Amino acid sequence: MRYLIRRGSMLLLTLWSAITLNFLLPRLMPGNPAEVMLAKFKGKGNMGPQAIYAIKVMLGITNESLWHQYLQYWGEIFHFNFGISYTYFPYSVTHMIAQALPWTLVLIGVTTVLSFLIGTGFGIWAAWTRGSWFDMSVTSIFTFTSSFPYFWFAMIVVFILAFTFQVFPNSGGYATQMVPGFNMAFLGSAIYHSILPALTILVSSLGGWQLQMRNNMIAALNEDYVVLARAKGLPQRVLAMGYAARNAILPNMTSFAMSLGFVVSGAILVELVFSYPGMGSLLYNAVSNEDYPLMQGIFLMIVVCVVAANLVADIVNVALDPRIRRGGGEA
Amino acid sequence: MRNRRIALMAVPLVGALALAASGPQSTSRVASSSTNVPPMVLSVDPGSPLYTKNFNPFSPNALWAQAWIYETLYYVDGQTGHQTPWLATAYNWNNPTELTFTIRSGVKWSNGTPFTANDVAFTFNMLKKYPALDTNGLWTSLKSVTAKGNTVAFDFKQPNVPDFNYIVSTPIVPASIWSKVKNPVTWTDPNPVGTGAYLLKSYTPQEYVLVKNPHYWQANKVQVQEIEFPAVSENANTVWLNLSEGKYTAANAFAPNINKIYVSKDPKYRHIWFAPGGACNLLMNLTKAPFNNVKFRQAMAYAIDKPVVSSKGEYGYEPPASQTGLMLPANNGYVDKALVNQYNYHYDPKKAEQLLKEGGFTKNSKGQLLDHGKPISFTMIVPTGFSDWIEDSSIIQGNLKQLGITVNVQTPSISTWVSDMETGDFDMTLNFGLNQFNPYFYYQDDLNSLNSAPIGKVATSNYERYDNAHVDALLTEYHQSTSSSVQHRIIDQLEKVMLTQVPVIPMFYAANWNEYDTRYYVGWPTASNPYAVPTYNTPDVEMEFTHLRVRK
Repeated sequence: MRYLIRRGSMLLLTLWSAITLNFLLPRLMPGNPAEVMLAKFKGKGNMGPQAIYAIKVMLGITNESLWHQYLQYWGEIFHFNFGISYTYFPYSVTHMIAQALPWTLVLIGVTTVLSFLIGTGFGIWAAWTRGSWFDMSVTSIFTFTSSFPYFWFAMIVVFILAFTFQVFPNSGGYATQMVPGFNMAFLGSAIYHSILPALTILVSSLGGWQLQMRNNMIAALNEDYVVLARAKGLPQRVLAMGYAARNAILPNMTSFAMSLGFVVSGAILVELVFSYPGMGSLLYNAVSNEDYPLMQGIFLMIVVCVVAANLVADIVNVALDPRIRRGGGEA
Repeated sequence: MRNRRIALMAVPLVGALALAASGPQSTSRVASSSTNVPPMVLSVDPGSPLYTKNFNPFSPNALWAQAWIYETLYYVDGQTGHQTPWLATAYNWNNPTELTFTIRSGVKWSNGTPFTANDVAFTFNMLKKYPALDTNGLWTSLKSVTAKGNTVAFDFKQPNVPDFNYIVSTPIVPASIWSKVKNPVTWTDPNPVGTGAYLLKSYTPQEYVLVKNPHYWQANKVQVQEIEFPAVSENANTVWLNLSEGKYTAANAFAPNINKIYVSKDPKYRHIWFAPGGACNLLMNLTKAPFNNVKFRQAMAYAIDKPVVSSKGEYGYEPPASQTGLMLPANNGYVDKALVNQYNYHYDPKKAEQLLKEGGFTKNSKGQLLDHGKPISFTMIVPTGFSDWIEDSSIIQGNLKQLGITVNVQTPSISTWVSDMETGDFDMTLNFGLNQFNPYFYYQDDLNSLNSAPIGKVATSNYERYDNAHVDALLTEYHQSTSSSVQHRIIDQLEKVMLTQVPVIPMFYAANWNEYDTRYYVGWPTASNPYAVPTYNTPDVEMEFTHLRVRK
């Protein structure tokens, strides 16, 4: 219990500093959103210099002191009011996030879980049969694929499967003429459109889990208690899963929890390549347009999710690792 | 539209795309009910990556569809300056502070109510009430706008004749609907009612469809029955793949090798016309040495190889600009040929050397150019991601190196670049020029000291901080005069300032990207018939869509 309270107060402190940084960092960027908007319009060519005043009035950009803005910002967080997005004016930040989040949660959520399960499974099996042809081939393939940059692999996939052979659509979250809704046609189209992005993320992230798990497991297999269990004549299955894997998975669990927290941030590069309507694209647009309210809304959500995921990881660790339960945890 | 932001992943596929041995593929689309012609598909409106439903024509984030729905009083062509009466049938300057429009009769809003002079007066008075909507600052010089019978009178506090351009390009909205809107600044106008040629048929966050307005006042001129607007991808590669597959009837995409990936796949039907727009300028900070020396600036205009900048940096799409700043060939009528020939600005490093010598600059033993004994070295900033401008700046860097000048190129973020220009915190940079037929706007923007500010303070558009009382007086005289001969004389004098003083160096004319397919639709604006600028987000679309025809 003491452990959890200590962790909890640590988390609150983390949350506070993250939220404060979240407020400060966008404001330290040079320029302001009206200028970015004006620059966009200047490119179109017909806007006179008066436009910047109109845009500032429209977006409600004020010259109030930073301290005043900071207090306001906290007040709004407690009311779950994240303001109006500059980029998507007059739509609110909440509206934009609500529109993008489901796409990301499903795509990135499912691929993260799948990638963890498959990767960890392969890792356990590879470590258990280390030196076999299975271990050799799987491990070398995964070492290779895990070094793919996401977006590069995504572009290759688009070029081969969507352009040359035209098996899958090259962009979007669903067929363009469809109205989003819960019906078979729409869900089918959404799944069809998610296959390429999902494939891209899976292929380039599986390797990480597999390699980490394999290394942990091999280390665990050399521990004295595993040798003892083997000497006692325990069944292979119990030895592999209950003794070696249970210990080896602890660090993997922590990173899994972390990556679950990061699910909400989307996969920027993959989403950009596929024009996938998720959080990654939204975040990219927010940053490139200096959309403070939208950036703050998104970062706040990421921070809260990552911190919460950490808390969950701690709790799971307590359940999995008796050493932590007994306090101290020093072995 | 300049689509300069070539995303980070935009480049590597180009080669692969060009190699792809895929021939022309006409997409089999479901024919629309009335004819055998497929709906037009326009790849112009960027969803990022989904559309947000917003048809408010005054919102900077409005969907481009609003240009097909709302109309303006007059259409002034960006290439020829030709004026076509639209919702107004005539106008008259009673004197430089009084402008009256006669409003067209027989026009109906798409909900059936008649369009009147009251709607026009209401629209402009709404801009007064909500300054956030008045993006052209019309009410800085307007006093009142009143409807009387079928006329609307604009009274000015002070004469501002060029504002005519902004007045006639303001979209007119129905008073009966907009007067009930609580806050037109944040209103998204979900069911737009306009006078225009098209109505909203359907909307999803990835695509919307417009259909011809059967009660349009010039319905007999509109042949395109249906237009689809799929959201344009953020990823340039996707756009190029779709272009090359022939998925679009027309698009306004930038591609480094458009002939290879688009035109060559079906040269019979696929065409491009990149209408030249306003000149992009090389700005020098005139408050700093050596840029405050006119001989140095003149030397720069000879030292930079504009044709190479245009052909290498701008892929040959954006022709070199005249030192007069006039938009050519559109502004040919304004060019003072004798004067231009006298100065004859062209790439001539020898002439540049000679001017530098006259300006008191010497070289040291290492070949470095000296200003008061110190080697000249400065920084040129261009925004990150503008890959063509970055290439341009390295060409300029090479040109100036020949003269013994060291240029460091930096690529800050877009907003840093804008704020550095605004506050005068730069040595040299490239910037957009205004895309208007009337050269007054270009000169007003770039040369009037009203648009300048001391270093450290925000300047509105005269970023190089040119300050010349004579030029200011000329510009004031221009916007107070309704006489075209007076206006012409003033433009001539401003041309001369550009040639002698070199306050900025116009580099090349921005291109309005436009690809179009004539398989089903013909009558597109072209270089030989530039009746409209194919930019798709201005009143130009009303002009264009009353000219497009179905191929027989």
